[in-house]
Amino acid sequence: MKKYLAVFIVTIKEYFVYRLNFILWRFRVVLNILLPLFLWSAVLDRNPVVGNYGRTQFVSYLLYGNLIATFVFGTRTFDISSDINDGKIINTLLKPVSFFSYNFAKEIADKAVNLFFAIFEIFFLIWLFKLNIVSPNNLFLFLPIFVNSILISYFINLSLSFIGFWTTEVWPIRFIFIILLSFVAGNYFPLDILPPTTYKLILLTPFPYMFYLPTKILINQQLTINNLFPLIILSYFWLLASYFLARLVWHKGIKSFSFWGR
Amino acid sequence: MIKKNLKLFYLYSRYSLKTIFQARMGIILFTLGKIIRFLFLLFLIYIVFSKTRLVKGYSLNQIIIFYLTYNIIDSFSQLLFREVYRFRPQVVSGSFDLILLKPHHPFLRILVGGVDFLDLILLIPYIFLTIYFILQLPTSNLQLLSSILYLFLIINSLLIATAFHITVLALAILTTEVDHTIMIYRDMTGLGRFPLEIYKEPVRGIFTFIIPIGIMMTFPAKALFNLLSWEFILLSFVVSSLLLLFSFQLWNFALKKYQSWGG
Repeated sequence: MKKYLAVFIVTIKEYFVYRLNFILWRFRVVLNILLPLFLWSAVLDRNPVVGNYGRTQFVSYLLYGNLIATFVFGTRTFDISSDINDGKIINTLLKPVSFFSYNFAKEIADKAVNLFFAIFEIFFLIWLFKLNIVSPNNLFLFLPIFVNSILISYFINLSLSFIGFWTTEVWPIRFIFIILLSFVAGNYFPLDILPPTTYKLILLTPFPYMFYLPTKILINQQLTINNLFPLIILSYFWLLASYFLARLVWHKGIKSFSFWGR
Repeated sequence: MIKKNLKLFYLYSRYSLKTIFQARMGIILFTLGKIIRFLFLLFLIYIVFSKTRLVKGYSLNQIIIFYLTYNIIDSFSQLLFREVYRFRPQVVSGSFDLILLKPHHPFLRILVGGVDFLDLILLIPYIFLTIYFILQLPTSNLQLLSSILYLFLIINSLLIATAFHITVLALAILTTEVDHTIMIYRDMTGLGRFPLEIYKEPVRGIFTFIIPIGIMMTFPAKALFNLLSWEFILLSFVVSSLLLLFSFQLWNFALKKYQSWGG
């Protein structure tokens, strides 16, 4: 555990070496929330209720969603595929640590730093634009689903990085994943405002369980577990599926891996 | 001189095309990804308009034209200036020295030396779609003068994009600490996918007058809808000229500060 704590601390320190870089990265994150926030605000100016969401609930969905996204989508697994391609992964494999835990410690550090700053940014946006949001609800139900979303995202990102065992063209595949994630996960609007058939089809994919479900739980004041039960089951299904997929790709990949000359 | 530069531009573009075709899988996936992103945002517009009839006074058709105009300007500048995305590593490694030693202006290599033909694949349908949606506008809205102004303002937007890209190149020399300046530019211009009226102050003011994203991305469509006064049309040409001038000055300043890092 001590080893992983050290990895966690070193990763956080790395961020503060390039402070300006990090500040500008956060600036980009703030920019990206402005478009959905104001686009839907413009709609809510004319139409006070969209789907089952009033203005406060809709804005809360987008802002809490942004916080959740910061923690769930923030990842360091990008490094793994390039480490595989240029052979640096050997350095990690030779260390007396678990590869998965080592990377998870780095991942959590990345998420923690980003979350810390995201909280200030959200308060800043609320203050600047005088936004109203609901206080967080259903915390006991939210927490396990939130942990699920972090793990699903981590395992899928790992699986994508492990594609580096077979090809150097990992980035295009990840590019498609990021685009799907940013739309189908519910970043731009709550998915249940979509036509029912589209909504049900999207629920069959892993994306809503990384963003939409935890956010929905957090902002909903009249939530019954019966309504959510199928979604919770699907969330656990995707957790297991993504875990086994990551393990399978890792085992297959590490067997086919060879590298020269370090 | 111009003939020689055009020849070099053609040569670098040919090399760029060959490089792109080295990663065939990448071509398919990147193009697919860009198509998906375009369609998703178009879908978002339709979802928005399924909940309301107008957004800040604009109809569905007008918002789509804003979005398509953004895509034309964005794709065209990516097509021309893709090499800017690869400039910073050249500064950090010192290989920029080799470009400076060549007997031509460095912009031929680092600004327009990596034409991205993948964006051309998308640019053509964007243009056709824009023409289609413009023709759907009520005839009272569509005038020859406004259509000509629309084209001129798009060219003006490309000048602003050029100025931004030169600024990014200069910043890559001045500060090697930041590795995603170009992505900050992309995120800022992304706000111009829709008319800036949707944003509250101070965001609207900042991105219209201080960082002229509004002038760049939304003024052409506004001119097309006859919603832009002559003062603002004039202002947009003045802004692009000043920005270009500023970016050249900054580049010259950065070049004087440049020292080789590699070795």
